[in-house]
Amino acid sequence: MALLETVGLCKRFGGLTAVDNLDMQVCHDQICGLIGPNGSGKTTVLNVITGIYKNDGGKVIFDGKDISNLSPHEICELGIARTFQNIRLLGNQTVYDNVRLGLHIRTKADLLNIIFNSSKVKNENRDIQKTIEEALEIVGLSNVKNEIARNLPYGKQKLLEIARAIVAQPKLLLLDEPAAGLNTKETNELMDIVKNIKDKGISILLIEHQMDFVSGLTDRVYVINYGKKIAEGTFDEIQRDPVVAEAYLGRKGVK
Amino acid sequence: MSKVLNFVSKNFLTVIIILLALVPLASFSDYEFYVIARGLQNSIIAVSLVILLGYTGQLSLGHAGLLAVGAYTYGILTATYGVNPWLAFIIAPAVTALTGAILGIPSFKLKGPFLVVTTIALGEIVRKLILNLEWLTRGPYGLMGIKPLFKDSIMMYYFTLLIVWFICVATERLSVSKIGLALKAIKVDEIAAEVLGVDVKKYKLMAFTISSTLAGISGAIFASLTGYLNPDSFTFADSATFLLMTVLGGMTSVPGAVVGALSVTALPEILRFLERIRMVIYSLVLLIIIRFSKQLGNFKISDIFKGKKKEAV
Amino acid sequence: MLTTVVQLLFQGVNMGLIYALAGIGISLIWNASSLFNFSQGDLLTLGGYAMLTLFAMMELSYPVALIGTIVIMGCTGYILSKFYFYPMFSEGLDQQVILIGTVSLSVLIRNSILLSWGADPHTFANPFGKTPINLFGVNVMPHYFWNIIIVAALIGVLQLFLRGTLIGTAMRAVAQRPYAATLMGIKIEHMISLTFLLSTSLAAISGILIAPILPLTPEMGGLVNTKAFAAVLIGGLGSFAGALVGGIIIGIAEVFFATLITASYKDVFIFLMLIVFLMFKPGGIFEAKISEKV
Repeated sequence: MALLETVGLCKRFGGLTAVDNLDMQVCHDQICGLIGPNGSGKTTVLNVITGIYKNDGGKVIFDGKDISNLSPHEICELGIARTFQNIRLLGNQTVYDNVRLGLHIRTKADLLNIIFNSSKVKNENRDIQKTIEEALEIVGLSNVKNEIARNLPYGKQKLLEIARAIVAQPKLLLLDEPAAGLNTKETNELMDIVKNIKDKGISILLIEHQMDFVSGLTDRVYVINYGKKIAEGTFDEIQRDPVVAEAYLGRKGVK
Repeated sequence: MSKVLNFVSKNFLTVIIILLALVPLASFSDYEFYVIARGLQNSIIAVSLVILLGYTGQLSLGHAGLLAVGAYTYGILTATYGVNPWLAFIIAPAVTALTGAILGIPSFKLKGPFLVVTTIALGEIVRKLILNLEWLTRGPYGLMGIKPLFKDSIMMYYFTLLIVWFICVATERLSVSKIGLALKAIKVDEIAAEVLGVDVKKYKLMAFTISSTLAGISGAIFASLTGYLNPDSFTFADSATFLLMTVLGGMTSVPGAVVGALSVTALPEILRFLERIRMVIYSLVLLIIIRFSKQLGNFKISDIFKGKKKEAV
Repeated sequence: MLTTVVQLLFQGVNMGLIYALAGIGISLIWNASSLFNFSQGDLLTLGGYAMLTLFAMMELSYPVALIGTIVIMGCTGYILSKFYFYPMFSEGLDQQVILIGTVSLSVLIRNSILLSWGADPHTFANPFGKTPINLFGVNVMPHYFWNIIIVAALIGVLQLFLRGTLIGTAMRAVAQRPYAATLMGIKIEHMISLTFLLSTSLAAISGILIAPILPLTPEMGGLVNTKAFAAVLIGGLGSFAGALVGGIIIGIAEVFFATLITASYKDVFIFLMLIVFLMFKPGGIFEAKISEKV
């Protein structure tokens, strides 16, 4: 059974069909790629999966459960985390606190505990600290723990978003163009980080444009264009598929 | 000397509370003492706005209405129905919390000016109701004969200070907790917060309820201090004044809100001769602070005592 | 009975049009800068007091006083934008904070009026005279009739200006796509300040039109504010048609409620109407929703 499955998923905005009857599976311990030309609907797929948009047809099944009608925070609780294409951090907070937000669903302290600073809160804060430091270690941001997020360079901000997403040990991580805007060195470091995350038991669905990145990481790739799936397979398989070349390069560009 | 300044900046709240505790020992006149007590009572509302506006980013221009609910609940219970003041002191914030929770519901769907207008509307509805339900509130003639919590003004002062201290410490703890972080996330980016597992509706409701409870406490203390209530004390201009107190203190700073409230309450007394242009000065000050709020940034009053870089809120 | 209904309708439509004009002023600024101007009603009142000073106190002729008021208020708007609001926009200040700025402006204007002219109500003679005219067989005060004509003409001229002239088009360009507008050589700061100028000029005219109907008091700004906000939110923030429809709905509802049920709760009624409406249709009747790209 796949970890995540979309069955006939549809999303329309007025007259525009952004996602068209999409069937896709992400299996356990797998890194899946989702690629396609700009505007093909990739981010919309992520938004529907995470509950930001309500789907107009089909369903999303996660870990055997139909999550099509759940709200985003409920979906997060079930174990799906994501990063955003245009970074959405809390700019004025520290790196530490940004990651701490990712632990929101796992922390149990309630209002009364907090007001009276009970031992429950103190113990939990100690555990939280350990978990956050581990996550920062994985993405390589341990040395900027107390820095204000908006002061970080772009590449590090992207890593911070990843740390925030993995700190609560999700089952599935959705990465939306994590390598965009990174230089070669940063991209290679990111590849190692993503492999590391997979080794920790987190399955990944990855949207990317940089083909080296996709080929080096993914076990399986889905290609979509105008919201429709046009190819699926390993990276080598879809690379040789003329339909895929046509989508990216146009009919005349296909040799 | 710098050791002292360092200590002050790290424990700003505690220092303020200690200074305030020494007030009854100084030789203030009865009236001056009353003004400081009122300043303390106002600081509770200012802190309530730190939570609602500073942390959660929900702007309310109707808090005078919530103050009124708390004050009149306490007043009506003790004056008309002879209820024990302490019981009234517990019921008043509860009623206000309920009113405020109702205010929270529009916030699920409404943002920005839509929400602000709704809060103004609710504040005005409360005032009009108080004005017209004369059989209950005595309307424009005012409600008299309210029983105070303490007959002795010094006891009342220390009681208020204790409440203020408790609320301030609790709010600062809230700020660094998971709840505080969730609220701040809502202020910056609701969608990202929701995706990260924050139940935005629940936390908005929580923010409104907590803020209203504090407003209710402030209202009950107000009624207890003055012994007399009148709808003119709860107008839109008062809601704007509370906002001034919070913004003056730096919008996200708890001790700042206390200092802001004390300053704004005491100012007309200090500038007695400027009574006629008091509100003109208030609004000019606020206009200037707003204009330069980016430059003031996350400046907390305690930063005056530091030589160091600004820290995160 | 019919006489009363017709008279009430005229009153309601008149007040409604004033609210609508204020609402259009708010929508103009909202479209250009995403700022909700909480002081629109007070600017309207200020316009009324300016007219009072020029016409009744300095005894200038009506047309001269009229033009003088519009010029003064227009300049006020331009200055407010250029030296206070636009700098805050370009600094990227938090929306809520700038909102509080307009609230403080509202309080400043209200209290400055109180300081300068006192709390007693003032009126000045209206140019349409006191002789009722006969419409649909009913006697109606002339200004009720003329106000409707003037406001209709005003809105028509405004639409012509915004759609037909180069400057008007430039202002709309800045409202819809500020970045693209700069690429076309349009100076955003200038256009936004012009929008403010337009908005305060409209406020001035509204203030002058309202004088025969309501006596001028410092608190009038607050009364107009809340109804104007309700009008523009019910009608759809940013839409002129919405402000018009919303204003008339509020104006008529207010007058009928006050006369048929009770005057003391008419504001409560309007507010409850607004809140209930917003709960079901948050964007307003002619909502212009721009969805957020995630």
